[in-house]
Parts: sequence; C-alpha cells; structure tokens
Amino acid sequence: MHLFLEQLLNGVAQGAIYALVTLGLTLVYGILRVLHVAHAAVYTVGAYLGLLVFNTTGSLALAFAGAMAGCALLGVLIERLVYFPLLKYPPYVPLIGSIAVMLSIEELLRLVAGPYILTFPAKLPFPALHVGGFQISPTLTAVYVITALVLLVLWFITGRTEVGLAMRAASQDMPVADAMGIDSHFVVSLTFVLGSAIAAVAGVLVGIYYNQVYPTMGSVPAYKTLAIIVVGGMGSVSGAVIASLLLGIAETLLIGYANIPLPRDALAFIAMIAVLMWRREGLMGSGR
Amino acid sequence: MSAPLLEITGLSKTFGGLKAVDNVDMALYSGEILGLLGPNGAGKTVCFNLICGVYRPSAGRIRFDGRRIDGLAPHEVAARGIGRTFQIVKPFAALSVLENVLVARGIRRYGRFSRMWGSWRGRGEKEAAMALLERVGLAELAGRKAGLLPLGNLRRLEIARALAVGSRLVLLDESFSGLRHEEIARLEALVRRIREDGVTILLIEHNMRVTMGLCDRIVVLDHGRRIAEGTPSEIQHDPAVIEAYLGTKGKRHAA
Repeated sequence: MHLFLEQLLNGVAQGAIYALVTLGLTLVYGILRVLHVAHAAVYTVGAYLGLLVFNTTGSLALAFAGAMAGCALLGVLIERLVYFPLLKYPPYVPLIGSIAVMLSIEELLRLVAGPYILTFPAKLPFPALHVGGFQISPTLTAVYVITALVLLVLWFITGRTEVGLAMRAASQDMPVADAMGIDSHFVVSLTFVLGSAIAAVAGVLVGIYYNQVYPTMGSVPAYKTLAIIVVGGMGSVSGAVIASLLLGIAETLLIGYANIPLPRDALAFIAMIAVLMWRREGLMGSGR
Repeated sequence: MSAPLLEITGLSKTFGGLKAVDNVDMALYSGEILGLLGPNGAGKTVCFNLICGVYRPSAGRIRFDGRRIDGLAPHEVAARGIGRTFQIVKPFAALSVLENVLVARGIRRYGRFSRMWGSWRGRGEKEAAMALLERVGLAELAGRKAGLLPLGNLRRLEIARALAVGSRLVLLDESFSGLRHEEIARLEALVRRIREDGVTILLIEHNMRVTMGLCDRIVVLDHGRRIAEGTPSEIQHDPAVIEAYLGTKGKRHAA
C-alpha cells in the first residue's frame, strides 16, 4: 500500500508535468488549428535557459523568470516568422514548418551546449514534507504547487479577464472577432506567450526533477503531447489537463507498480488509438 | 445638409484583372438608412468589406466622421465605432448569447493593454449587454448557447453585437435573407427602431421589397459601378436599374 501511494504521488507529478507541456500545444491548436510540434523544443530551450540563469546567478526564481521570458519571446518569434506566413496554406504546411523548427532548435542546442546530459544542481529552499509516514520530496512539492499555480493563473486569464474572452472569441472565428474590435493577431501572439512561458516552467521543473538537461529531452514529449491532446479533445484545455494527469498516473502505476511489461512511452499511444476508435472527439472535445 | 457621416470617394478594388468595385462614390448622412442594392456579384459585399477594413482599397478614400479609415485593419475600423453583421451568420457558437454581446462590448477595452486584464463580468457590463439584447428582443435567451439559436434569432444577435460595437453606424449585410415573412416584418420594425434611436444604417439587401420599404435612399451597383442613386421610387423607375435586374433583349442571359 505504501509503495502504491508513493507511486501514485509520482504519477500525479508526472501528469502535472505533461499537463504543463501540453497546455501550450492545446492553446495554440485551439486558436490557430496548427499542431505546434516545435512547442517541445521551446520546452527544451526553457530547461537550458533556466539552467544557464541558475548557474550564473544562483537564483532559482530568476531561473524561472528568465526561462519564461526567453521562451515567450521564442514562441512569438516562431508564430510571427513561421506560422503566420504559412497559415494561408493547407494545415500540413505549417506542420512541416513546425517539425523543421523543432529539429533546428534541437540541433542548435546540440551545437551550442554540446551533446551531453547536463545536471541541474538546484536545491529547493524548503524541506521535505512528512505526511502520515511518507516523505514528499521538495521537488515533488514544487511540481504540485507550481502546476496548481499555473493552472489557476491560466484559468483566471481565460475565464475572468476581457482578454481571455477575446481569446475564446478569436479561437472560434477570427474575422468576426476582428469585426468586434479584437486585434486577433495580438491575441494569437499572446497565446504563444502564455503557452511558451508555461512550457519554460515545465522545462525547468523537469530539469530539476530528473536532474537532467539535454538537447533531445523534448523529443518524447513532442509526440506524447500530441497523443495527449487527441485523448483530451483537440483544443480543450480541461481535456488536456485531465488526459495528462491520467496518463502520468497510468504510466507510473501500470509500469512502475504493477510491473506490466510494456514500454512506458507506448501507453499514450494505446490511449490515443482507443480514443480514436471509440470516442473521436476525445474526453472533453466538442466534436468540432 | 451637414457633412456626411460616411463618405466614400472614387473607391476601387481590383482582384487580379477583375474590377470588383469601380470608382464608386457614396455618402451616408447621420440618421438615415441607406440601401446598397444590386444583383449578385455587383460588388456590394466587396464594398462592405472595404469599409470594414477586410480589404484594402486599390484606389479611393473612405472617411468616417471626417477622418480617413481606408487602410485600417478591421479591428481598428471597429474601434472607430462601425459595427457590422455578416451575410452568413457567424455567432461565437460555444459562447452564450449574453457572452457574444459582451465580447462585442469589449470594444471599449481591447484597445488598451492595461484594461484588457480587467473583468468583463461586472454588473454594469452585464446590464448594458442585457439592455442591448432587450432592444433586439433576445433578452429571454441570454443564457442559451448561441450555436443553438434558429436563424432569425441569430440575425438579431448579430445586430445586437453590431450595435454594441457601432453606436453610430451599423452595416447590415443581408440581414433579411432566408427569413420567413413575419420574421422579415419584425426585423424591419427593429431596424426602424434602431434608426429612431439615432443609429445610422447602411444595409446591403437582395430583397427589393424590403429595401424599398425601409431605405431613405438607395445606391445601386452593377458590375462594381454605381449605376443609380435616389429615393426608392426614383430607383424603381430608373431604366438602368431595371436593365441591371431584368436585362434587355436577353443579352444578359448569355453572361
């Protein structure tokens, strides 16, 4: 029982990290209908930026802030320079562009930072929690708290602010949103800022959690998050979060606890195939 | 007469080699209902889209309230206070009827970065949006998902949104098409009421009867050119208009 609960806690953390990476992807898909594969590369850049700032300043807060700012900028650049000019073509064209950006960033990181695994020697400024006989490590706590905070802020922005309403309107019909006085292009860029900053948070958290930062750390998330947004329902934020948490828990419990002899990364795709066969709109999708 | 609210001079738009709008002049005065009439493909909708900023004019000027608006982006034109509806109704289907109007009312805040982070859920906002829905007769349906409304109500919702954006000028793009008789009559009454409230209206219409009954003046386009302008009764007897609509000696049938 003890092991089960411990694995459950790890699973939730894993799911929370998936959710952070997937949020940007689902936000971008929701508004542009583009599969932003390069988002996983933004996440990798976030990890590197965070590590760089941490190593030079020694401050974890600055590491997060720097990674978020840098990734927000990178996200907007990708949107303005790659997606926006390609939007008038069929959807596979921006998708190919996105894959190209993903590979370029990975290779660039390999050239600049070297093809090795770097460590992220951060010590979190609070002790482990002891709850009913188990120990929750500081990193685990950080993952929970930060994810909850990010979700809260995102919920507030999309649900409560004027600009959130504008985002929801623009994601449904940009020409009409324009006629209502909404600068749709600004809203799109803002979506990239939000999604990319969240990806940066995920990158830094993963770097600390696994104590590893390497150029291809985005490869597995790149396709796994695609599977997650299909399972959650394309463009649905709540669906993406739920699917991420379920996947994180299922992976950890089935493979780590029940020892089912299955490659861990296959699970997301089994779930995706199942969803495509029985519930094509996904868990929370609108069927659009 | 005072200066026109909307003044269009020498407006042209070419797509490739095709002159969709060709040197059109038009003036719209405060408080009137001006109809833009013409057969299919006459350039009415292109004209509309030029005013709204969807297209950039190839030549010509558009002035609203004395200031040039040609070349502005659609959201900037909207910010000047010009509201529009769409020929094919386009509600934000996943939002409620009330939220649709609230999106349009956001026009007061979208322009300022600092204000965007404010809430749209304030009591005053909701009351203002409800007042608009009341005005178009949709108040009871405020909580309904917009995607579930029938066509007639969607047209009203579009008008409510347009009014939220454009308190002075509203452009109605074929708001009457596809409606039943009694719905047309009720919508006509609504448009008249809106004008009485001091809103100027430019409407594109296919339906001759509606245009004749509703408009103070009518401008007729054909093949992108302005072929006639006048009161409904003048238009009705204008030989150029009759030709454009009915053709002469069947030569138009070949086209």
